[in-house]
Amino acid sequence: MTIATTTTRFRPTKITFVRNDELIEKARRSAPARAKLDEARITLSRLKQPLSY
Amino acid sequence: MNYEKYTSLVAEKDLNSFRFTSEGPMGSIKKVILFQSLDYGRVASLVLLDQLADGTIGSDEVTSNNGDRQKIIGTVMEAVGLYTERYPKKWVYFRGSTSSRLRLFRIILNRDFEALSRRYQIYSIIDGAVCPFTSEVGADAYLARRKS
Repeated sequence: MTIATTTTRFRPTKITFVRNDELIEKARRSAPARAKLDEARITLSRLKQPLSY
Repeated sequence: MNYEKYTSLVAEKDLNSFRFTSEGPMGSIKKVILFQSLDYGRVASLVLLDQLADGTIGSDEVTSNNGDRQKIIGTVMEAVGLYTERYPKKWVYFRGSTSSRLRLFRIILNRDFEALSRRYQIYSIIDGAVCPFTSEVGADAYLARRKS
């Protein structure tokens, strides 16, 4: 586990880096996350012109 | 654009996901911010999810009523800043899960557009068309990317 600090204009944010975090994995596999991804995919697939990259 | 935020985040090394704890009258609520890649990794869909009291992940339509909405917005903005700093070419796609949240996003973008537009290109998706952000018309979703 690594702890890093980023500095921003207002207050520093402390970030603790983790691997294979149980809650994050659970969220990623959840139905709401999948639904959100599907919805984004559908919206982007219906764009009248492609996005510029 | 001076939002209070939660200053202690847990993140995966690739910054595709963050978690933090919302504190308020409803207690401690764990929240997860995900940037889910799509379109060959060129776009990341942003979603904020709550862990419910029973341990399951709630729909992004859940309203936690923990009295810290501004702080949560500030924390999500911080995560977007960190993510786009790491991946400056990626578009971040976001939309409100409900009409009131979509309206809230429009209000925030409109109010803070000057500051946000110094840092990001911001576009609205309206009826399948991608157009520069406007507060005049409600959008279906938004796209933002770091300015180079």
